[in-house]
Amino acid sequence: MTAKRPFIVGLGAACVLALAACSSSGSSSSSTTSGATNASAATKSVTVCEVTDLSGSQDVLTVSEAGGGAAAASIINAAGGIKSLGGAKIVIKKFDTQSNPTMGSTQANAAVSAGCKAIFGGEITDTVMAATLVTHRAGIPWVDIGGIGDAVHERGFNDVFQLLTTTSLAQGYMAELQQVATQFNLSHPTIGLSVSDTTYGEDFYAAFTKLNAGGQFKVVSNVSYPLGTTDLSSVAARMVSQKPDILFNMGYPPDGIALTSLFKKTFHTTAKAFLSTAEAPIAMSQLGSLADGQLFENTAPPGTSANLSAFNSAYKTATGQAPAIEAWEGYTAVAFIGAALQKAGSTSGPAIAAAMHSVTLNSSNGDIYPQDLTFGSDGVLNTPPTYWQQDQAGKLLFVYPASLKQASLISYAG
Amino acid sequence: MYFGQLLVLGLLDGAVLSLVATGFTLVLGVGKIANFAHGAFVAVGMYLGYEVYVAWRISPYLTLLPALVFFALIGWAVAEVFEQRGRKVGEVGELLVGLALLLLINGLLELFFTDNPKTLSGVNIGGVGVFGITIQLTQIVAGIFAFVLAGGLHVFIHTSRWGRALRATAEDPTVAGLYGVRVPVAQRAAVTLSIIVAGLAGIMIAPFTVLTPDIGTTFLISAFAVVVLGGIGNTQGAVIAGLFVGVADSLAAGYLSSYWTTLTPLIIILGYLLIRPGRVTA
Repeated sequence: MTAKRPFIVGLGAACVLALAACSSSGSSSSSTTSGATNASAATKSVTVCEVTDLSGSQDVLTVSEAGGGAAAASIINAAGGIKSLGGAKIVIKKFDTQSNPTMGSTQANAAVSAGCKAIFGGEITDTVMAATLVTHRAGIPWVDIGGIGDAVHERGFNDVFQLLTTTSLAQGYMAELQQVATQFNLSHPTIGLSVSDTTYGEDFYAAFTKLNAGGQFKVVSNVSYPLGTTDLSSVAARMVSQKPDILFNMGYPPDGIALTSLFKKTFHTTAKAFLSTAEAPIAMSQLGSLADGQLFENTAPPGTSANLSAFNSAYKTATGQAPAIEAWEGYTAVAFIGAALQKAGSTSGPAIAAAMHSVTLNSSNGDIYPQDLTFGSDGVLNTPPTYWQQDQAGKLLFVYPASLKQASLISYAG
Repeated sequence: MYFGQLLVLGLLDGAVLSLVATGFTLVLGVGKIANFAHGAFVAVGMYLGYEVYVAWRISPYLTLLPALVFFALIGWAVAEVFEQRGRKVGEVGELLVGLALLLLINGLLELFFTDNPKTLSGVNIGGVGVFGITIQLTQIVAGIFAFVLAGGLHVFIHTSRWGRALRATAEDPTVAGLYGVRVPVAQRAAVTLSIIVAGLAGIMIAPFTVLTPDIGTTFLISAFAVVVLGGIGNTQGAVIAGLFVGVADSLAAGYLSSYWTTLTPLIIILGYLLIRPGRVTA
């Protein structure tokens, strides 16, 4: 009898905790205001919602995504709001999908009920797929940030927009691969490839294979590995086993860092280049000189335009930190929504979506990139900005495109 | 050449598994507790070594002695939880305590260090070339540490008075009690010892392993296979079995698919239980 008592007490405590968790998830939305907004100013405000992975495994991305969105809203509001709507201010409401795809439709329903006029966010393709089914039926436009699967736009929804897709990501990598082949005079370049066996990795690989259909790059070793593999030594061994000209990891940023460490410390590769999705600041701070020669796709806009300076300042005010990772995407999504609202002169979902298809984001309406940005008829950003940098003796230098080039490529093998 | 590389990489991975499994076999065989949080304490050791180096540039090797005291205190506290709460409820209670500790430690590590993987690349004491690859001396030192630790524990358990008390408790706590062994103290000591070993193992492998808050769970599955194969409670068996599992893992991943690194330990556990069901204890 006495032995059962602690067990029953424990069971009771577990039930109480489970009930508490259920009740908190039921009210998971929170709101933040950007600029002077309150309930009494409802007619002078437009509710834009961020439905994204605010907690869970992807929260590292959404901290900066949310900061970028908040910065864009504060800049638009400070400049007088949406003028075609009588100076209506943008109010951002947040909904947390908890990095859990099954929460996508739940939180999308909550956002629709909350009166959102446009939505941005999403870091997991499956979540975005489920959530946009709900918002599409409600006629509310959605700008997807990091759910980059091509499947999102291939459904043909005219109110779903993607800043990046696996195809456009692969196009960016293909451009850099071609630069490597040209600069090192590789007439028949070979690739040692590794792919994270996830929807994202498979889509990335499929897009690359499609672009490489002509066989310009010969894949001499191809190894896939399950998500969460931390010991990549056997993967690295297979990648370098055929002595390829180029090493290419289609995985997650930490995979690129782990492989760099292995290529430089354990395996002595003769490859001319190593491409991965590792992020330069993290890789260089963790790996030091081991990151030398590694190529990084840069997501930060280059230059010192007035819009970029205003964004950096607003982001710092909103978050207390410098912009990083997906801050620029969060900003661009809300800037696009603001521009579409301005053009539509209406808060009707279909009108905003139609305006989004025709609006151009440029230096006059908040674009922080050197090039103008527009969405194609399929809802995908036309020519997404692609910049490549290389760590050369601890300095991060632009190597692509030619307009930004600060240095020629150096061989990864040294 | 490729085979040689995989073999060497497998032996090095095996040394890491041996280190983890040595403590686990101790708590399972002598403490008679399936401490699911064992791998989590390895993770704590790894992050401790990482943080001390990043914050103060102190080599993880220099933290071994203070860490021994730290993990001894933690270990005794955890043993108290197991003894006072877990064991009184029975085996289910012990399992629940272990699982709760595992989740708690994972959560705390994620809270303090985020779930971004971390690497401790600054600790470099050189390397040796074998089969066209460079083996870091940090990996070799960890392998030697595993052998010394397992040997030391074997001598301690089989020759010292304390060791005899631990073995007697493992064999039959009631009879051991009748012969004057303070059984609760012996069981707490086994749990504490295993957590010290886990923590020190984490510090030793931190310089060449990718750190993630849930890495302890990954280690636990492989450690289970090693303990079953090496014989529950057998520290020397854990070392030999660890090397075997490491090599099997590496060859399977190199020649078949990376998925085999997850499957191999499970197949070993099931295969061994099917073939020699009565020989899992030392």
